[in-house]
Amino acid sequence: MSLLEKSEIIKKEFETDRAKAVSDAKPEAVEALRVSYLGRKGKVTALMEDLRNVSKEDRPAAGKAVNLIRQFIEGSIDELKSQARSWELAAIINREPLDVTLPVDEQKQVGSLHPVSIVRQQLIKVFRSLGFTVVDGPEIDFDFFNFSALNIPDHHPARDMQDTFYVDAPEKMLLRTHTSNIQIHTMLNERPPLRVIAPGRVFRCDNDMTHTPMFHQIEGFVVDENITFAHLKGTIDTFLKAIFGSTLKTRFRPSFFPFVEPGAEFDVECGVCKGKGCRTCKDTGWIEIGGCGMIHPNVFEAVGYDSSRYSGFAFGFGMDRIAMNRFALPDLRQLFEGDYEFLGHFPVHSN
Amino acid sequence: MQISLNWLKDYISLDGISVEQISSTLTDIGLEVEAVQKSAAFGDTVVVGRIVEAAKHPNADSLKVCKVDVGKPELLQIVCGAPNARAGLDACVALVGTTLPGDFKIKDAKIRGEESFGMMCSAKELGLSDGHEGIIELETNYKPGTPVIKALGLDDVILTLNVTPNRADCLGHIGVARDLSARLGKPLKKPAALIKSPSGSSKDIKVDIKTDRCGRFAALSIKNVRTVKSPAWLKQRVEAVGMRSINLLVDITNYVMLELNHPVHAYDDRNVTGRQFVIREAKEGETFVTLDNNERKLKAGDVLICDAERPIGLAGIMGGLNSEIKEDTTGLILEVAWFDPNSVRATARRLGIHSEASHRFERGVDIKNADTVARRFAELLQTCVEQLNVAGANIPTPEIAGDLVDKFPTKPQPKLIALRISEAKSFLASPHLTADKIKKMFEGLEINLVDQAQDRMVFDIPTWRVDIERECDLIEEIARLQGYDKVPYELPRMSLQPTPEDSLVDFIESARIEMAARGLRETISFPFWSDDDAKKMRLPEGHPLVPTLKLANPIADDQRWMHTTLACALIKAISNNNRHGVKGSRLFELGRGYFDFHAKPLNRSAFSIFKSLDRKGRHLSLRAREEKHRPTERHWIGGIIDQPWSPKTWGSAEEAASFFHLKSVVLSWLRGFGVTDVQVHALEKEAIPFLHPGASAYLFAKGQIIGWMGELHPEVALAYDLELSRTPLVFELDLESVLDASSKRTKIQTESYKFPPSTRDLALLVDADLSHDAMNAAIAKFPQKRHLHEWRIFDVFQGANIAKGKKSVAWSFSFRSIEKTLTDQDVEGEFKNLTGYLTSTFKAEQR
Repeated sequence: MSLLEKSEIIKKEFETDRAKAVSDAKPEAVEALRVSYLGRKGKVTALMEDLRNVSKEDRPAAGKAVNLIRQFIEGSIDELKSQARSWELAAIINREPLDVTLPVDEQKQVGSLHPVSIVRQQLIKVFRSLGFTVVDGPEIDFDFFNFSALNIPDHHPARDMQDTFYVDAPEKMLLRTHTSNIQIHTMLNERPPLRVIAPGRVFRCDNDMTHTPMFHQIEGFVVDENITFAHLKGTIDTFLKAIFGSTLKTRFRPSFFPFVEPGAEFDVECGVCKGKGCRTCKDTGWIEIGGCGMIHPNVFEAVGYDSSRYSGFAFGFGMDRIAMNRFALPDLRQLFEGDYEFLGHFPVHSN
Repeated sequence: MQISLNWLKDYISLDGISVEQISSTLTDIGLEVEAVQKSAAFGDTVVVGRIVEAAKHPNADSLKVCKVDVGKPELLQIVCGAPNARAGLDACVALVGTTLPGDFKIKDAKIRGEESFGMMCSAKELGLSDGHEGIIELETNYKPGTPVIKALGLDDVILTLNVTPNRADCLGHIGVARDLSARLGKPLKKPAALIKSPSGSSKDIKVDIKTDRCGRFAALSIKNVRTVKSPAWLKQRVEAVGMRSINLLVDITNYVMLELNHPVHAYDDRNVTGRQFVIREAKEGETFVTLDNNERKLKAGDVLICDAERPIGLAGIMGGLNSEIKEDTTGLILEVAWFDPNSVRATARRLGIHSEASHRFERGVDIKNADTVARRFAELLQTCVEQLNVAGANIPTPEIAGDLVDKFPTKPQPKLIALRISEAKSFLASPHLTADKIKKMFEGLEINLVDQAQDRMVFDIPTWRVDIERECDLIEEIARLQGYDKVPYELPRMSLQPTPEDSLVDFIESARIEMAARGLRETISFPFWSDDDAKKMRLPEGHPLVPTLKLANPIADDQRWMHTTLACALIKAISNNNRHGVKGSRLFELGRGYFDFHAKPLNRSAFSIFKSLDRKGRHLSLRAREEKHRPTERHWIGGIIDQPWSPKTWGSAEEAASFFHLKSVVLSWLRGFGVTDVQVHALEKEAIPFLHPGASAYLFAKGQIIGWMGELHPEVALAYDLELSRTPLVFELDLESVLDASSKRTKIQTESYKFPPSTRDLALLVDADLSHDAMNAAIAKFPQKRHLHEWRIFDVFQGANIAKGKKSVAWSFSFRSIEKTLTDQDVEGEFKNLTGYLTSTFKAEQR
């Protein structure tokens, strides 16, 4: 068989193989086609080698024919290669579709913050925007900081207002009953002007449906020259509006805390009924938030401040109840039971 | 404090003012009304009705058709089913239109064909008592048509006031009335307290005060008395405010206290030996039986009232069993005294007695009104006896002394307090205040102006206002009388200068968020341990984590100690969750560990990993940090990971939580704060006894120990009811140490690599106990290191084909240059040297 005839046969075979590859539309078939024709042991390569055996006079013509075949096959394969990319894409695109409704375990990927933490972070944000500094302090403290410097001397009936846990120790040591001890710690270490908040854990010897032996308070106080009762009202009104909504009213009622004079309790209009009275506010139209007042001159004197020069106000309230209110939680004790499923309801980030 | 509105009206006219207004006014002036309770849950349309005729119902055997006189010209026809309905009976008739308790409306009706206009009620139907059979039978001296609430004295309203401890004067009706009168501008009517036709004298009573804890002691002699029942009005009043009516004498002592806020005590005069009172301090260990029949052990300093021979009363707290008023008492001596508030409080607290008397004495009663109080007692006694006799009781007239023995050693100096008008104006931002307005307000409170010059007003503070001591107290009186709502809302204008904030504060909040972001849920628990917890946690005596701070008065025995580590609370939480069938929980908490290193110093040599535990924390001010006796509080973040790590799913089998899951959580959290150079070292045996000795570690960064982590010790798991096959993993990190480590900056590579790396893998047979960290450290110190850039272990294998005591470890090394793409030649040489270095260093065999 002459080389020319051989080339014709190879060309025909190639066209058949090519057609098959095209109909299969598999990228790997193109490479196989290339190898079987143009590879080291390929049919065209063998043809090229056969050329060496052709006589000198026939070689130019045969060479030309073989070259034509080779160029044709090379060109075809290049063409196929570019087609193969689109087959590849199509294969990926036409993959079996997923059941996108199958579940994933995102609950384990992201945890949650405790509702009290969420409230604390919101409060810190609001108070920082008003220029307050956040201060921490001890939870076990001496009587001086928790009571006597706050104008609550020993044997004062006001001590009955707070059932105190005492620590078995030679010095009179206790679990702080309120965050107000931070007033004393701060004033002993800093000079006015002061704008400070102190969130933290507090303890009272009390355990029933609505009281837990530990809960959370936030204390705030402002000390400077010429601070008035109107400033107290304005500041509390401002942060209550920032927390509960700018349309709700606030109210101040006279009350007694030994470390302030005048003393007050402050309420915010019930957000559920807008002051009309409902179950949430026990038909009063108001939600009790906390206590406040003008810092008593005895307190200033206990920390060595000149009470004729400085005045100030202080306020404090429980964060747990605000959390319960905010998330409509029925039972205070639930906050401290470590129930994994209950705790999962509160997001890491909330606004 | 319960206040009867009817009683209050004896002292101030409240006509035309609704209960709601009175209640909100009281709240506005600082006497918070906590509850308003009407004595009856029905109105005046329930009236006294006399059954004139009770005939059988023509169509029903069990019913009667009654004709009832309700004070109107025509008799009412009422069908009644009560067996006791009969002619002549006075019943309580709910007229048509009445709403009874339970929202039950009375309408006219036809019952089995007979018309009925109203209902005769049982006690239950009126909400007065439970389960009484039949209709109420009234005593027969009420006029038909009289509202039942009037007839039974149920037309009262009881206010529960939250009287704050400073307002001792408002523990009596007169004090509340005085405050209301000042606010409403209505006159205060005080009781006369006059003794009509006195007989006899108290002169034979001797009083000897031997302690300055008694500031005044007055005694009044009253003879020829009887312990009869009190008249209805007195009984009603005493009972309305929550006290029990006993007999005329006892009821009057209570009445006087509830009116004038001055506790008094009546002694049976047969038991006051020698008609002598000695007020002295008790001797240490002396005992005394109080009238509740409890023997009280006294301490030196407690105050006793004694007669010529023995104690007969515990001053200001409770009378003695030996001298109380009895059924057959016929003479009494009335004590009206004043005792030191601190002394009364100290004794009462220590003995655990909280009586009506001690409650008032410890808050401070009026030292000046003893004579008024005594006379008021006498007046009431005379009045009641007269009333009872008019009603036919036939009781002898009491002999009441016209004088009283009154020992009042040191009369109090007048308490004069100055008020600057300008200060009141600016403090309350109330420019409208004037001297006149202020004077009027104080007059209402019976606080008299004694001097005025320009801006300065001087007031004489009455002795019942023990709470008013300084100018600010007077300003508060102005504020509450004018109303807190009169003060405007303003914001302070202040310097922007901030108070310095410790970075720990913000770090703690970020720590929380970062941990939550790693799949753990935040919990908060009580920081208390039981006596057993240290044992259950396997802490041997002397271990630094054994609690040292003990509560003197825990709520329960299992909450006696302040905890030192959060681990126990977290374990308990997992145990609870498991019990509820919840598995795979991941919890964390930020809290404190509490230590008393002053009482029990840290043993550094025995417990080296705790060497920085006794630092006083950054939450303390510098000054407080220096206080020697102050306990140490460490800020922990602790976490626990329950089994499994992931349950079986459609894509994977169940995966158990391992030490390395835990390690990954902890290290990634640390990385979030830039703490990347962390060494993890196996814990020495029993350094943290509640962790598994072979699956636990401590973390070390920037020169200090920052925490520990590991699998829970199986014995601890058992102690807290966890399944042995499912022991959780716990960690605990010291937040301050982490913060310290995170704020130390390390040098960072600032040039970026632009050329690709080459990698080579190497498998070595090494000793089984060779740690990853040891090899890692050796590689880092490879002396011929040029292009070696990163390396990591990718296989650890022990078992088939590996000799005992050996393991196969495979490492992948990456070589990289910042200047060029490395050639094979560049890499081969260095890799060959590295292989030689590692095989010789660790006597390893290349596989």
